[in-house]
Amino acid sequence: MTATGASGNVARTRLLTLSRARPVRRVGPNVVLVIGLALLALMLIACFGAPLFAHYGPTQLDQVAVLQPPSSRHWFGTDQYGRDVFSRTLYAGRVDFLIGTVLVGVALVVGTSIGVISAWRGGLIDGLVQRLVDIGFAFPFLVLVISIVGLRGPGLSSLFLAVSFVAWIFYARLVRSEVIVLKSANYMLAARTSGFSAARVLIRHLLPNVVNQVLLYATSDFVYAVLLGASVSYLGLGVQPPTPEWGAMVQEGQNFVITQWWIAFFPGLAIVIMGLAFAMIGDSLADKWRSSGGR
Amino acid sequence: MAAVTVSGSTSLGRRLGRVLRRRLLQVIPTLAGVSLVTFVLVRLLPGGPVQTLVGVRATPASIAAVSRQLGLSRPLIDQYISYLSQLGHGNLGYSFLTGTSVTSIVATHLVVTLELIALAVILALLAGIPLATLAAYRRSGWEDQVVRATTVATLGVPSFWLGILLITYLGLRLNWFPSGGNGSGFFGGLDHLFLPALTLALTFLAVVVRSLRASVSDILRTDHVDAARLKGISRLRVLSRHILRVASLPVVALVGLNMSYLLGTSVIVENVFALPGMGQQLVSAILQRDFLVVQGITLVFGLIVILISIAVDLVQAALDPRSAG
Repeated sequence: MTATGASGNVARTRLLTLSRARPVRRVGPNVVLVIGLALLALMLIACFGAPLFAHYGPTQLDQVAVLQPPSSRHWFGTDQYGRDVFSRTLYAGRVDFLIGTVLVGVALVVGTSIGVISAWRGGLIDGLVQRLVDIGFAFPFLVLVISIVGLRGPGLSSLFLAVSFVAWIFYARLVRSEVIVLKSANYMLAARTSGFSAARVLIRHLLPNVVNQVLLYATSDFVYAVLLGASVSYLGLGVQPPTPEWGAMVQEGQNFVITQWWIAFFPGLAIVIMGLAFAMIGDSLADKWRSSGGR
Repeated sequence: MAAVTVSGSTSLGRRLGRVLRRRLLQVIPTLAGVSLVTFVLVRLLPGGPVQTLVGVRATPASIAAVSRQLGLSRPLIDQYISYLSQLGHGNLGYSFLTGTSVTSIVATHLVVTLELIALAVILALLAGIPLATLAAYRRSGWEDQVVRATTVATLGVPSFWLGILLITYLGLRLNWFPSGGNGSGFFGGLDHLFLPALTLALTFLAVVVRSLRASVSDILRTDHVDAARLKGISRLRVLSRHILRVASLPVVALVGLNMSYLLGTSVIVENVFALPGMGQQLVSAILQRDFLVVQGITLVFGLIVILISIAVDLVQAALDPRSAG
């Protein structure tokens, strides 16, 4: 029997055993990825192009149109000061995307650097980093962030400071374990024994093989970062009024939720949709990279 | 060590004792670090703790007096050592506003938080285990796709928003559950705990389903499951005896690994539902700038995470002798 015949047989037997599991044609990762990216692009355009779509300022008061339900004039209704919830939701998105970008950006850069150095150098530095990571993991992340923000005083700068203190540990641990595995790979040994400089080995040979894992983690981390910023602001410790922010808006609308549900509902929905977009992107990237057989 | 594992006859008690000893030793540097973090925390206050205490209109003389009184003028290392010795005596500090000891605040409010988390974990597992098993059994079937899509969609749902929606629809519109506060008696308490626990459980469900689906489908592909099936054992029995029993290990690990997440989210949930647990105490202390209470509660949260990680190791060692090492 020829090689093709044999593999055809294997394929047929596999088909037979699988037919009991009733496979459904899965939506390919590419489709999910495109939908996720489109959703994200749509949100970014809406938020950063807010003046084009919103007819009211985010802090523009209107005493005549207080607590209006959603209508053609006010798509998401108005709040207790007559501010347009649609405008506020869009402008709030700018703040939340900023929070996500800063928090993830700082944690990713700092954590990846520390993780690489820790795994590469080993010894005392590695031991120290490991202890710091252990200590960081011993606290509920949110509790530590809330405490630091609370003691420093509410506001975005305290939030950024608190998260920079803590969030790098997640990336450091991930990167460290990856690098330790890669360090002994043959191509790494080859690169190191070729007499390349440490910087060249790290940047040209090591980082490209770690970066996918880190980026994948960062896509889900972005959602957590925005949720963290929104949660801290919901508690009154993050973004301060009158600046719109999704979590703070939910908090402001909470007292009206029985009669004027729209004030708290739409900003929360915005977070959910953003989370959905990132989850779709992350999930399909993970699928693609897994099926392509590697990192 | 090797001899012990090979003989395989070590009693459960000895095995657990060994795990406990090893873990307690490992935990010492972490404990020191955790106390150091909370010690440093208060020194992050803008202007220092004394400034916060005496207020902006304080004179240099009064600042110096309070500093001396609190021992803040001594070298940092001395302060840290006396902080440690206070902790060693179970003294977590006192509230500046009410004079209550942090230990008694923790004693009255910790139970609420632990009950909330326990109920949430139970609810999440009650829903999550069947969903994950279904998805793993029907891998790539439409059931799997639906379960996966739903869990992906719920990853970004903010707990506070979900809590408010649940209060509005289940608590106030339908009037099924009380929407806040703390009830009296066991069932009164349970009643008041249900909506907060449901909120916490729903935010945790995606993680449960995702990770258990992977565990169960791994187990489904093992030889012992094939063997059990080939022997003609009924599907239900294969599921309960050969799959779910093995899956109990990943379940324990999952709950243990996510304890930080659950404790963190419980802070938010308690504040949404005005549930008088540790998280609500933490936030109200922060808003009142009662910083020693903040310090004490933060430390206790750290201790809980450490204790639970030890407990998880013990349970795993009890369930699976191989993990005792």
